[in-house]
Amino acid sequence: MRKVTAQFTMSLDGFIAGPNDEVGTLFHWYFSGDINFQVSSKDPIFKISRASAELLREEWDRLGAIVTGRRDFEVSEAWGGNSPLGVPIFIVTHTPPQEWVREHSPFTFVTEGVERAIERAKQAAGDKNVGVGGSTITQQSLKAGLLDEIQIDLAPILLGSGIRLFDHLGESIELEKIRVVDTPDVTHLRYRVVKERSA
Amino acid sequence: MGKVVFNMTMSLDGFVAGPNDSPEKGLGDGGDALFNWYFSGDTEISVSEGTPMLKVSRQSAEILKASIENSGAGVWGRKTFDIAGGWGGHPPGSPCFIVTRTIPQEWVYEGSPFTFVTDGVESAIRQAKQAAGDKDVVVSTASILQQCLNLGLMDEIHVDVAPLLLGKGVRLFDHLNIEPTTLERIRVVAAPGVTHLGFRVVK
Repeated sequence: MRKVTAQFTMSLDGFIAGPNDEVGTLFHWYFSGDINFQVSSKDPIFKISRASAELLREEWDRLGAIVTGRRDFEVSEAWGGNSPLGVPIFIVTHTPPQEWVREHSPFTFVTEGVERAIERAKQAAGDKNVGVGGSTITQQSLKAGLLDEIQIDLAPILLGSGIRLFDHLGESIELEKIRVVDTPDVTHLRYRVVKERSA
Repeated sequence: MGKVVFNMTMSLDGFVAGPNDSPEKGLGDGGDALFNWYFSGDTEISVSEGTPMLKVSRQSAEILKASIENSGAGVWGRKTFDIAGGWGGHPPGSPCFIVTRTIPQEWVYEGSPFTFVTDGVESAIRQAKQAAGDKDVVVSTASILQQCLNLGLMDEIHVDVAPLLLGKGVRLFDHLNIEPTTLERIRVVAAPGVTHLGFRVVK
């Protein structure tokens, strides 16, 4: 079944980037294993553990489209001009950057908000999953009940400050643990978002 | 010398209590759900006379038992002490050091399990280490963890991750004034209804 999912590497203290968007130490696990892992020839080659590779392969094979925020687009410098992971990407923004609005642009800009962006991404994804990126977009998706699953790749580090994944939520949301994959360099925690909540 | 070990239950979004935690509502608004795993298993375990009998999974029971056995002293904040009502005089882990500015005189008597420390966290940890000998000093208060991390006093961090997002409340990892700090994973146990994570602080 098609799902809307979010996957983030997060420090134990809840940050997905440092104060200046730096992710170096958080992403150590992408470069500390002995298995070469590459999604497509345009993507970087990661070196991860066998357990992490199996899990990422499974997740990313099922990925059909991405929805993320304008900040993610800016910080990544438009992913070098290619859609990451080789799937259609929908960027939620108030003001589309005109230099990327053209025929055959690798990016689709959505000005009508997160819900509409996820709708369009679902159409593009067919029967595959939609991945949500960016902390703000993820928070909005959670609050709007649009997210089906969350995977936290917990990095063994305390950052002390930075950008929090879970911020501005304001309301409690029940989760159900689906899977825990434990490796020395990262702990993969996967949860289903429980939507039929009792009052 | 024993270690200084932190242990608390935390939501996936990093809260250890909901908003408005008070003696009437120890875990704050919506916070009781953090402790569902304490009462949803089939193995009974008693932490102390001052806390309710727990019913946890077999995996969680093993972890709790080891933690109780290794505990040589506890350090708590005054707010936690007040919220718990002094655990009716039976704190989970004794001897018990309470960091406070003012001493509650009603708890000062011959044989009291509590030592009130008015000269700060560093002093409380030092006194607790002496009392604990070879065993561990256990910290289960968010503000004490934060101060210990800022002072470089924490050896291990154990969090029991509850499957929920609280959305607001008392953040565990807050007010930190540290450089990025590497942790070493000691243990990950995916028990029913909770995931036990243990890390060593690399110094």
